Amino acid sequence: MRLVGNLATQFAPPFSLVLHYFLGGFIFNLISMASLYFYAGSFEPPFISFSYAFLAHTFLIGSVMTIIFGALYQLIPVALEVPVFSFFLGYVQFYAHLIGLLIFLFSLFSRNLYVMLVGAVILLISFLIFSFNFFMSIRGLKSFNTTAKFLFFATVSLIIGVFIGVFMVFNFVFGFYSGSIENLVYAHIIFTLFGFVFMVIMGVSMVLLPMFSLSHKFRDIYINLSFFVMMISVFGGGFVSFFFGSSPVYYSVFLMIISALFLYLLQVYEIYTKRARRLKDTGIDTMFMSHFFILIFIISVILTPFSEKFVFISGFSLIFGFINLLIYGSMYKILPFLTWFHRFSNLVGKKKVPMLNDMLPERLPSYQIVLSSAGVILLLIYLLVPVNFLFYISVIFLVVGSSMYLYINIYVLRFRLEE
Amino acid sequence: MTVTKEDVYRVLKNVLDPEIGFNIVDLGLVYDVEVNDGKVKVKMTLSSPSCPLSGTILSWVESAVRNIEGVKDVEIELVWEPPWSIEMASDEVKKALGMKY
Repeated sequence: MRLVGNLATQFAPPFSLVLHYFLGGFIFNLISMASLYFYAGSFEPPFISFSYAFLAHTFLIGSVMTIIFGALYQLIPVALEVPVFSFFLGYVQFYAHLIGLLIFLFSLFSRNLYVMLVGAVILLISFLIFSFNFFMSIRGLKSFNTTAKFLFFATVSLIIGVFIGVFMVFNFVFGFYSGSIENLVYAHIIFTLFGFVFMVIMGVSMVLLPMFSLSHKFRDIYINLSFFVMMISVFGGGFVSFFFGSSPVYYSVFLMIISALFLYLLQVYEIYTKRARRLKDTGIDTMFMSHFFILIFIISVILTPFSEKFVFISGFSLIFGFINLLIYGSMYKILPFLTWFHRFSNLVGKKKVPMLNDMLPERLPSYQIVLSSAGVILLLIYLLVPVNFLFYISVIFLVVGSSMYLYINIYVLRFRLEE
Repeated sequence: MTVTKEDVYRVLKNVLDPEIGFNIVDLGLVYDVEVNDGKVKVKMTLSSPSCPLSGTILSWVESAVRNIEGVKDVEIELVWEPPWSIEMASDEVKKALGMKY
């Protein structure tokens, strides 16, 4: 074939590399939902504790970041039009990530600081491998589009945030730092959660949302403004929190972050209104609807000075609400595609091959999304009105939802043509 | 056998976008077809520059056209201007996607 023109995607990663990350992420998703059970009646200050750190790291590193890394190995060639520098390093990173995470979580559970040090250092190595691989991949990039800018600064933010985390662990063991631990924790959260996880989500959403919803001719002014505000919030706010943290400073930084997220919401709404695909599609509908939880996050952050309940409500609405549902929805689009590409693309023209939607079980993804969303909403209500019954129902919904999610994804991976 | 533009469009109607579930002609992704003494040039676009199936779809296009009797050479010109939008799709596609038009 003679091809004239630019072609974005000639550098797909091995299917097994992405699967390593995705399967790991699915399993940690279930573990984190199940571990919620042990937190009944315990959502009270102080917010900085090993107990909450265990839940946050199980979900954020175990589920969210594991899936993000897998998705990035798939999306870097698609979104940035460059090949990944080394897939081998991708496998090395995965095993370092998994081993480091398991050791780190065990240390949080057992409160063993020396074990925590080992886990944190291995995790640091895994993040540095990713960062090296990413920067080597984009070294030939000629122009930085919106997604490239987000991913570049997200990776810089990851490095800073992880070093702060490791610094904290070293300090727990050797006690050399006389400053405020709270400042370190806030800076760590700002750089890793908002700097890395959110900036990756915002950048990648600008590719995935229009692509899956067939949205065209939308303005991109909001995302450009959002990038600018997010940069100031993360890099300015992160360092100010590190050196000069105090309650008013943290609150001001979070107000800036919610401003950036509000602009991002406007951009998502702009894409949503310009979409051509308007029929029901569980994956893309969930991706869009998950953004409602950002609104709850914004409102609850504003209300945190009035009640400490809103600290937990903001955290859970953002992490278990928005991020979790966005990933659920994205997987219902990405995993069927990857499996189809791996298993059926070379059969086109020779056999009748399925469409991507055919590879998902009928109705089950919708039920799963309804169950998981109801679980999050009940959890948020419980945080406002602490009735234990609500909590247990929400945990049951979340665990069953996560189990269904695991089942559905395995169903997609095992999908075969009928002979 | 003489190859015609209609022959090319006919085979391209068999090339489906598996994500959207429609063929690339009805989606409006094929901008132009030139046939000159058995040499076929297809000018087309994709629904998104980031389409992860881009390479695959183009190879299907090439394979479909090359299988037409009398085709000596196939050239595919992938363009991003004008950018594809749903207005370029057939009414049937718009209706199936739930568009009001």
